[in-house]
Amino acid sequence: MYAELHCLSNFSFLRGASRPEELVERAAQLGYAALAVTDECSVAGVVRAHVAAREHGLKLIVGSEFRLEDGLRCVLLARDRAGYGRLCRLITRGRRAAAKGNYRLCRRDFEEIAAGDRGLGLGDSRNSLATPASALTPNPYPLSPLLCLWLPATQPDAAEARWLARLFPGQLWIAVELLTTGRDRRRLEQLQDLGRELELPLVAAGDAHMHSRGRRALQDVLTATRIGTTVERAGLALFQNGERHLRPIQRIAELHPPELLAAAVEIASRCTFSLEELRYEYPREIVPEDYTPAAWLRRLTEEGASHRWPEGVPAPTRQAIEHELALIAELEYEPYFLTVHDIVRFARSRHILCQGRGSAANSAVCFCLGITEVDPARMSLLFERFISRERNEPPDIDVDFEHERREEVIQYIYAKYGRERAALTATVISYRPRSALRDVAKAMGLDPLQVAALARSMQWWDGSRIDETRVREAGLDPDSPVLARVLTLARTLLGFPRHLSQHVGGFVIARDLLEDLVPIENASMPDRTVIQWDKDDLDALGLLKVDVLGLGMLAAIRRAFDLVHGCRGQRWTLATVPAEDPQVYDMIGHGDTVGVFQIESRAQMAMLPRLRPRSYYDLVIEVAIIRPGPIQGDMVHPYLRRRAGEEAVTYPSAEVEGVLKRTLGVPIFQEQVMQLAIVAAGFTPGEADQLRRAMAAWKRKGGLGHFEERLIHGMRDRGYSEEFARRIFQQILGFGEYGFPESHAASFALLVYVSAWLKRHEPAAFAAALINSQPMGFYAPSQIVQDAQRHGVEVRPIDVRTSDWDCTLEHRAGDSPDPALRLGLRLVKGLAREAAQRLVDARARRRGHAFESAQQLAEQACLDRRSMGCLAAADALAGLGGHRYRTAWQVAGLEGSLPILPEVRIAEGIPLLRAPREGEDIVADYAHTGLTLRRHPVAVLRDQLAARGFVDSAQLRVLTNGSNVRTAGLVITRQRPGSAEGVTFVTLEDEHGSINLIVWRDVAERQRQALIGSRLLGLAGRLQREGEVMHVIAHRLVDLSRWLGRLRSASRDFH
Amino acid sequence: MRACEEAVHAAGVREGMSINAALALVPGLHALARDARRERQLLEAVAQRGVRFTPRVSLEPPDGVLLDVRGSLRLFGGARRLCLRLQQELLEAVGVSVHFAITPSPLAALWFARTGPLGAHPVLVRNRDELASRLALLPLDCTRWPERCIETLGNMGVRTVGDCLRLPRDGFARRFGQELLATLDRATGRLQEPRAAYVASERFAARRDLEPEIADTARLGLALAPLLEELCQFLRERGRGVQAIEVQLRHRAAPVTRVRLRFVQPVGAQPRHMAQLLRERLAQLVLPQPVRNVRLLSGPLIDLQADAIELFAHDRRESGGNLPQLVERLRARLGNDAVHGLACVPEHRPEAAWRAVEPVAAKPRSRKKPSSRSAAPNESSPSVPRPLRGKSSAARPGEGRPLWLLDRPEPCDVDRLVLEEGPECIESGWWDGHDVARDYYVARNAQGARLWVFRNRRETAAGARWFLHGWFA
Repeated sequence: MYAELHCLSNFSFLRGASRPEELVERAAQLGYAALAVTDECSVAGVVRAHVAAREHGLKLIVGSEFRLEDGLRCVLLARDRAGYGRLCRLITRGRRAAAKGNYRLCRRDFEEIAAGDRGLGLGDSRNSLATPASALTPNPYPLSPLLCLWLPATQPDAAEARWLARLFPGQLWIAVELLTTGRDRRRLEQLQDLGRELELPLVAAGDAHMHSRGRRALQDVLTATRIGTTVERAGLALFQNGERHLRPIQRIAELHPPELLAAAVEIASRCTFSLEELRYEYPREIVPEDYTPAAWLRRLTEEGASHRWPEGVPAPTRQAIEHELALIAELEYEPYFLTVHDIVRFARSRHILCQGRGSAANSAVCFCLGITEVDPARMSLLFERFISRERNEPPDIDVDFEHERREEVIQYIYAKYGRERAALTATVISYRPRSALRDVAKAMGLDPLQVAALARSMQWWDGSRIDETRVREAGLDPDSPVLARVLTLARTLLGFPRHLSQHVGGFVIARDLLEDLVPIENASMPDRTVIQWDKDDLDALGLLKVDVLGLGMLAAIRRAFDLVHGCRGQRWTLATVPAEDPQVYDMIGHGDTVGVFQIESRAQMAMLPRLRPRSYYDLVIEVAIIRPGPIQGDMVHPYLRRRAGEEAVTYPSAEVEGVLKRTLGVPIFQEQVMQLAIVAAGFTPGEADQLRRAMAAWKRKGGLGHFEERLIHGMRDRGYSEEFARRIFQQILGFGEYGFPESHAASFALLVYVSAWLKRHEPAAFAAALINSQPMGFYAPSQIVQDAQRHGVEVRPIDVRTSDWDCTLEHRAGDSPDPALRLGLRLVKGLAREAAQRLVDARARRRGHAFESAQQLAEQACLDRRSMGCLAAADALAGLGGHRYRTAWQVAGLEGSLPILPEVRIAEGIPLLRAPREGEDIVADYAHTGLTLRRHPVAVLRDQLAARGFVDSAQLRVLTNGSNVRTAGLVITRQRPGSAEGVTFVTLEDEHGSINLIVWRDVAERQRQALIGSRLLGLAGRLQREGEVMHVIAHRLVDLSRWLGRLRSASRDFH
Repeated sequence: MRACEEAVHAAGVREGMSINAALALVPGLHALARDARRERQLLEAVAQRGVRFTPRVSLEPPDGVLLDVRGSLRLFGGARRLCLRLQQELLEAVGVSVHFAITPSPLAALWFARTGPLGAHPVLVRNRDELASRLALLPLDCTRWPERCIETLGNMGVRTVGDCLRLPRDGFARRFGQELLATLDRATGRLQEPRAAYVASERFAARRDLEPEIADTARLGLALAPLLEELCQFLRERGRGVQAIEVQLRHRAAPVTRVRLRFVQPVGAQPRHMAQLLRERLAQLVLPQPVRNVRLLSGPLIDLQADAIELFAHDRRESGGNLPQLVERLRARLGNDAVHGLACVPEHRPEAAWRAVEPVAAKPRSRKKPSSRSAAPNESSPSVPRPLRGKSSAARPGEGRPLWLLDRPEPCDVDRLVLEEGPECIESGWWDGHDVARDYYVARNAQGARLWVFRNRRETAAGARWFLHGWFA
């Protein structure tokens, strides 16, 4: 029997060459009594190992390898829960003392951890111990919950062992790692002598870096990458052989005396800790002392209810509240709701707009608590659909905040719970095809330009595949021996973790010290800390997190509300915007949705006239249906046909009808797939939940195979046809990681509706708010402004005499009730916000007296020549000094520093600079503000275009389906969605609007240059019209960019 | 992206693009890194051709050469002819085609040339008065003024040299500095401009006809002495040295016999030292035919360090030949390739763990010192390879290695050996196609000799096989 007690996974970045799962599986195959995963100062891989070990029935030991600053190396193993906590603290301490990715530990850290049970990982206690640990009263079992394996150096230093022996009395072994270096016999004798001398027992260990010998080449590549060289030059830094793998017990027994193997098994049997023992405990302070969590939640809910319904809670809602509270109480989820409520309450007190989403968010209780603004009466959703008694999964509430102000919320959480109790979840950054190829190719010593070409050959839409045809396209020969090695190794490296990064906003908050639960380390951002586990790890252990996310649209909506309030005095909120306004749905039904949350993309716009949403729930479906999941699962067209009445709505059974009725028999939401598995295939809720996790991960990890059989079998047994079963399974596959939950769509739909309402009724405020919230969304300010102009908004140019930093609303002359939109200084390229603010302040100080000259403006606002140059180039000084060429000349001549006597000016002649031509002005507008209020550049070229037979977008709209057309426009976006089989979608823009192109793969490949390189693109093609939706299928492309002369229009390439 | 072939240009690749942008357009693009040294060499090659037309040549890196042809125009039959001829020569000798501009001011010529061809003929401006009006059309890029100045000027609608010349001089100077104004003046010829003349890099070359022909190598040495003396005079005058010289011996019919001497350190004006080495080498030579003519060529001139000269003058003689001289003399007798040093290479494969190096002055092949990125380098994988002192006396990794390593492992019969120590497993080298996977043992044969043998870990067709790889002393 044998147990491996020293084994690194690939979470010892650039050292371990096997995944934790592979190690566990191998250890189980080899019949090990136990496997300790001992990554270097880390437990980041243990949850994956734990899950795998559960599956394979292997005993997993949690430990970690350390190298102290003075060179001492050892492995610590957690014997019990206390030992695990101690281990986490030690790791936290080491990680927190060094920059991201590194750690620093010295003997003193060990001594201090040994000396007491206080929180040590986080800073100040480091200096609090006046007496060295050796002088403290001897604690009989100072580090007793931890077991220690000493890893002696080649020339062992007995003093190290003596020091460790003091810290780990009776718990210290000398690790004997015989790795067939030719000196094994001498090494064994040496350590045996040492053991006798120090009276320490010996134990066999393997220093495993991989699960099998075959990973040797990859391990060499990792080593070379780690030390920044090539494998050829890494020399003796590489291991001499592949012995550091999980070896058959037979082989270990050949190399080591039997008592050393027995010792390993004995140590393993002493370690009883399992990650199953970890329990999450909620923070205490969210409940006042006199209350139980349940009583406090009820009280807050009642308060909220009376606020929401001053006239009294409607009976169905009252019923829902009671039902939900009972369910929450039964599952003891009150503290979770209270934690989220506390965060949301803070945000509201700071006027930060927020909106919850997720499985538990769309409940009557959450509406009362203000976590969501979706009135439960608006939807007939069952709370149980979101929290399930049987599934026993933790409730899931993500809260979106205005993206620019999310940081305030994060700082609140840190301030309230302290850094020792709250930290962000990690995101494991893994090797993708490009990064894998780049690192392997570098380690193999390829030329840097070849490395670039190779990495570049992989496109993001290739997903996690490394395709040889792509390599060939890049002009490299994948069959050459070197490249064949590179490709093989890169494929193995795919998905290996590279480093831990911070999750966008997943917070874990603990009742006591978080570092007792999981180690905390520094993130790359200053003042950020992350735990060593990611959200899958937390899920697997049933630990809770609160997602604090940032959403640009919330910022835009809040700004629009503020602008409307400023100009009309009306204060809207998410909840008070008039519901179910038919005008809003009319607008949406025409695909007139530039800037509207979630439904502004080209694919959404094309779908809207077919779907014609008329109600809130239609929006929920709309949000969820145009996703890669439903598209790949082929759910869109059946749904459309059924909705249009072209196809009968049928259900194979009453149970299925119950699940799919609200989506006309087509599964659209993730929840429906899980419910189908339950009602039609006989899954237990727990199994359905496993299916959900597997769905989310199968592209990354694979492993839906056994569900397939189970599902199809289950359905057949319940009388469903094989074909139906297969189709459902295909849909599940299509959903993959893109499946969109109804619970999220329901929350998003509210923001869709509110933003659409603003666009319909307050277009000026909406456009201003969108520009002021940039960067966000699908469209650049230029498109937003043009869209606003088409909706009758008067847009006024940037002007130092009136513009603020942000876009603002101005009253229009006459009695027009609608405001005009004044563009803000934020659009001036290169102008710093502080400089703009000084300008605005200086203007305010003049109390309505206009600036007399650019010179005066510069002096009073302390603007340097550079800032003034930006303003001149943006034509924002036109009101003070004439055309932009003249103001640019004036501004360039401003004195560098402020003159002491403003009157003393250098008299100089003004040169005869010609005024810019229209085209030059347009070019300069685009170059320095990203948009123009003059004619559209294509309008300037219209005569030339017409002479060549290119028609404009307005003419296109009246042509019939199937017409052959020639048209042209500025390229606004190019997209190549992964789900579209090599089709490129291009959006062109001319003076009347946009033109949607579809470029099939063969055209794209033939005319790659025109497709990728054009700014002004002309084309011949065929018009395709379906109802209001119009596309042009491009047959031939022509790059007209040179017609633009120097016109630089901003094109955004979306990937 | 600096330059590309026509086909690549047609695909949309433009100067100034990033490599990734270019690769996006042309996936199979074969990109070469810029080499500043070779660009400079090319420019010098152009300049060297230019010297044939005028003595006054100056370099305008990275891509310009100025020739002062005022005095040579008539000689070469006018500007057009001169350009034609130079173009042809450059094409043939250097393999480049260039843009020409001939103007009264050097800077203007540069500006025209940088802008590229404006028509079929080279730009030709004869009168200074014409300059301003001819320059007016050039876009400002040709001035290579700082990017920001050109951008600011563009914001004023000023895009050509002519636009610039129309601006008030004082206002222009205040905004963009006197220096820019001065370049305008130099271009239009208002200001004169001195240029540093180009000096071609030098080598020594001399010949001597032998009358009568010499067939005896000893006499050949004597005949070369005056040339060596000439070389040394040449070096003395310049205070420089050479690291290599070549003697070319020309025969009546046989191909030229070349004798190359390489010195371990740069050698200054030391005719006796050179003559001695040359004699040693010539003594080894078998002449195919008598020699009619000898040439002596030097390699590029190298700066001598002051102490190096000193060292040669005194120390050498007293110490009576130290290691470098021994090497030089051994090489002179046995040939350059016959003498080399040994260095250890940090490598696990025994056959790759050493290599031949330049003797004496040899430093281990400069390995980029790997930076330790890992928080904790592995105990058994030191992050910095240690240079080893000798093939067999290596500290740890070489421990237990035999002094005598066979060139190639030989199959051996393990049954007649006693395995004493081992195994030592070595698995490495997969990256170059010579992966080894062996278990090494120290063995003793019937005669009592200690051998280093291994068993191939991989099963070959013939089964696991044993090999002898070395002998212990």
